[in-house]
Amino acid sequence: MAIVTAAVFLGALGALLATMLIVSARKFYVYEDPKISQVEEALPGANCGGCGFPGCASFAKHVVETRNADFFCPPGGAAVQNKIAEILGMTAGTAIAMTAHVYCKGTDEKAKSLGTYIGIQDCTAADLVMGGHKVCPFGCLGLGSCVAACQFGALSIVDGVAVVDEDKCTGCGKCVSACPRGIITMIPKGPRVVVDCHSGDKGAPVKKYCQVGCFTCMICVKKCPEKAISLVNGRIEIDQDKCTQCGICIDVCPQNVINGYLGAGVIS
Amino acid sequence: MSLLAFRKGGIHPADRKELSAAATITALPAPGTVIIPLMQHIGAPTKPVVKKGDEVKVGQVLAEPGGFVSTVIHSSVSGKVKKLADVPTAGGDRVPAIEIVNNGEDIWVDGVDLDATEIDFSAADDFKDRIRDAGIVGMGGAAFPTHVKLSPPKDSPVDALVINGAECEPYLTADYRLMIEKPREVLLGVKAMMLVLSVEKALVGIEDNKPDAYRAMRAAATGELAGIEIKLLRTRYPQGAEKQLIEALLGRRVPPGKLPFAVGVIVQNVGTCYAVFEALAKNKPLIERVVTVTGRAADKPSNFLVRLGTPVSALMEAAEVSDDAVRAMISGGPMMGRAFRHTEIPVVKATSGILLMDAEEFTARQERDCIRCGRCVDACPMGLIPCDLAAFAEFSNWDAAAGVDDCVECGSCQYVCPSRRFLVQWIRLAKAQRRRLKK
Repeated sequence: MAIVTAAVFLGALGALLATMLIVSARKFYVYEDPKISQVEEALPGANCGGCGFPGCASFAKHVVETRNADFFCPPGGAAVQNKIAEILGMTAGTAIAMTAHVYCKGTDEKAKSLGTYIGIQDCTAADLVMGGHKVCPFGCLGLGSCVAACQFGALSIVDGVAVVDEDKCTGCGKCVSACPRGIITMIPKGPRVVVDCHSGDKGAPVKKYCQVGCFTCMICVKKCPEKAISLVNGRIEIDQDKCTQCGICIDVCPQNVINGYLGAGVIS
Repeated sequence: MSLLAFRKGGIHPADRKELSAAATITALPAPGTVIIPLMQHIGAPTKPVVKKGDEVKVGQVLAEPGGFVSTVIHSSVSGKVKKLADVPTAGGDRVPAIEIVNNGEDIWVDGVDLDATEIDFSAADDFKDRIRDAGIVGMGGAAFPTHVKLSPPKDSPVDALVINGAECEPYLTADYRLMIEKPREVLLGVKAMMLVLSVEKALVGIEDNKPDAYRAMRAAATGELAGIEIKLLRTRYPQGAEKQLIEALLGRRVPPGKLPFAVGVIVQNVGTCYAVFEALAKNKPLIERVVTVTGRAADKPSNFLVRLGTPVSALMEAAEVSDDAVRAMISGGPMMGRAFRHTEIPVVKATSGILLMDAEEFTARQERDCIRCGRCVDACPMGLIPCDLAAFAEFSNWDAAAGVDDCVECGSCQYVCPSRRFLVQWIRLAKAQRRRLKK
């Protein structure tokens, strides 16, 4: 008898709760575009924030709601963008894949340091102590704050300077804000010629503390056949739109600060 | 006799003052070139009023205040302005500075009487303006403009002036020598500031590891200066931190996040009092200060009277520092000083000492994990939990680390930590990141 009572009671309870669930599911139903979950599945799911949204889910929601396939997922790149466009039934906008670039080649061997830094292994903390151990007030401190910030393993410290693996870099831009020296910038992937120094010092001081520091001798500015190189705010900059990657500046630079990059490697 | 001291936290580091305690204050000859930074204080940067090629005299104004919380900067030598350029400071950042080539003639501006020994107290009305025009800032290390400190907000009346003669920082003896050699001058400066603030009560706190200074000051506090109380404090670091000193001398506790004004007190360092005396008696602006150069790497630890803008290398040479022996160079004392790396950095208004440690004094250890022993909590005079603050900083939890804003960076926690955690550095990092996020 007890078994029957229990079965009836639990059965009735189950039926009651099931009814409540059905009613509430109907009553509080919210329509969500199935495309949102499709787009979200197409995304890498790293939640890196490189797109400017808090995570992949909110990026997907925004893309579907605005029907704008121009929004770009930096880690996913063109492949993901095409896929999203396909889901939305649109053609993908043109987006340029970006990569982080470290504007310093002052390795332990080439850039002088004054003393040893003993303390927290974090660039911002070292910068606060005495402006870091390197004499150059602009160069890479090599303690790896950017390495820690990178979720894709694209950065590493080689001989005291941060180096970007362009194949792994997704262009999310996390390292840019992690660097206290501000020497990491996002630039388009692909072949390019770059002045790998952000020194604001002029002349003799730079030559004293770094073998690969730009001291604005202006030879490259004079020799460039395309007039693509100029002095902007005390630094040499190359206008990538005008540059034909002829390599003359690379050859004439007395400090070997100018480097050519072919996608993932140095060409000269 | 039970001596006065603050109650919470604190440590007893070896004071090592014996190295330079007996060295009388000697004037260092003015160097060939002085580098005078335009930012030597807390507040708004100053505006230069001289240009390249100008001839200047000793005590001539080089830069005017850039706001109320700012000060005047004077030339410490006579000569020619060579250039205006950015120079590195002890903190590692670069500030604009004026470089002056000394012509060696030491020609002073008009109106300075270097032999005067008395202050005319009947002219107390314009004391505050004269203190500002003399470019005086807190000489203990924070370099807060003194005339601003002497202008308390209207809603918090001040009834006591506290003079910091504790010099709790190990190694440093600049204030100690000043109290022994110039006690009357220091007290005349105190008297002048009492008149500016119109307070009846003034107390000088001196730690009991400096009995000579206590006796000298006691002996000088007679006659018209008898109203100034000289108090002996039980030695405990950080007695010279202003909140701790107020608690030790007056038993008043300054609430967290508030200034001493809140309990009706103003704290000044003895070095500042001496600068005030010089400004009011001799009409001499702040162009030199006493700097202790000490540490075992210095063969002749000394207390120098140095012209501002003198490169540290000149001080090191005069103290016979052997370059090979130096393992650490610190501007200030070992507890709160900043490590520096350029020996060409100039002496500024806040430079109280240059500490040069050898291999025996300075041992570098890597930090290990926190073992949650809680010794830092016991040592913290501000009632904070340093181990937690450091952990928040380590994991970039800047919101949780809000307590760092109350930290005075005295270093007591790091001194007692058995795991050698870089607690103060983590806290400084958290402070910097929190400031960055607020912007």
